[in-house]
Amino acid sequence: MANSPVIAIGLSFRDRDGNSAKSTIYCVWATPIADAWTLAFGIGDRMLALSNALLYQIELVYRHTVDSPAEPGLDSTVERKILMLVTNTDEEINGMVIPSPGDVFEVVGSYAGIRLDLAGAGALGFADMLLAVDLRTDDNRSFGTTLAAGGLAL
Amino acid sequence: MPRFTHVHDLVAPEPPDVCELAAFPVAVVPYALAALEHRIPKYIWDSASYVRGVQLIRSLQMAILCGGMVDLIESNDRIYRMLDTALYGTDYSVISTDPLVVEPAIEATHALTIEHPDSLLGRAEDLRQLLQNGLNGTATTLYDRELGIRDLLELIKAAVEASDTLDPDMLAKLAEIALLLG
Repeated sequence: MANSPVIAIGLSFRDRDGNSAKSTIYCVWATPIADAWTLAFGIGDRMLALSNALLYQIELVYRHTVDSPAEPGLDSTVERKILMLVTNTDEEINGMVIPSPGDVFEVVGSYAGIRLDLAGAGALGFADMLLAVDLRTDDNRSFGTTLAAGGLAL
Repeated sequence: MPRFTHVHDLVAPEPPDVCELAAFPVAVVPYALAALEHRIPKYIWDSASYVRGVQLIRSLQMAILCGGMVDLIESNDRIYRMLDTALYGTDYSVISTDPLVVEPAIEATHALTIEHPDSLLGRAEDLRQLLQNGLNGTATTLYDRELGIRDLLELIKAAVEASDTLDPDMLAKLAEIALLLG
């Protein structure tokens, strides 16, 4: 199947009982983000004209599916995860979960097989990435630039 | 077995945060990390408590990942071995580094035994024997001169008294030195 990147526009509605429902439509990948937001709000207005629920959230998702992906590794298991803990300059700790960790854990010591080897190539690359990009939390705080720890989460 | 249902609209406790030190099996860390992750989603927290509540959860995840009890206990052991070597002269050897095994093992109590003469107690014992033998001529394990300083002074004093060239000042000084030595 050919890769078909799109922007998904999600519009979430809430009824009198607090129940939520999301309506999702799509626009072309190349749509500039400002135009995509304008489009999303315009669609929201049109939907509200057809609905008596409350529109309370709009989200844009840039979706890209890998074209003809290779076979996953034989020992890959997405239920196993690694929790990456990152600190920001406000001394807050934020977390990111990555599924199916490879051989990235310490191999000696009491945390062998459990704790991320911060000296490993993958961890060092991740730490470099944190310094290069301005990641945010879901409430727009700084996610952080220092990879402080990581560990297997089951 | 009843299903565990998480409380929603959690309100995080106000600071200050009282901290405790805990020992735990490291094997439980992956399960604890995942279990705590269920308390991260925004919707389970009261909106005013979300940031602080999540930070409390994250701090516990960080704590169990960073550990430190093993390092702390080992640092205590290092201090013990340093004192043991310095005081008694016990010679420790690292048998393996992962896991760290050092012999001899640390016992619950320590006998008052000097294991090496270069230890503090060994040197103190050396000095004690030196003084005993040097002053009094007492034979010890390390020193066995027949005559101590007191004996020698008495001999000198007797020799001076017996000589024709008696010097009262010299005799007085010898008597004074002998008195100071007890």
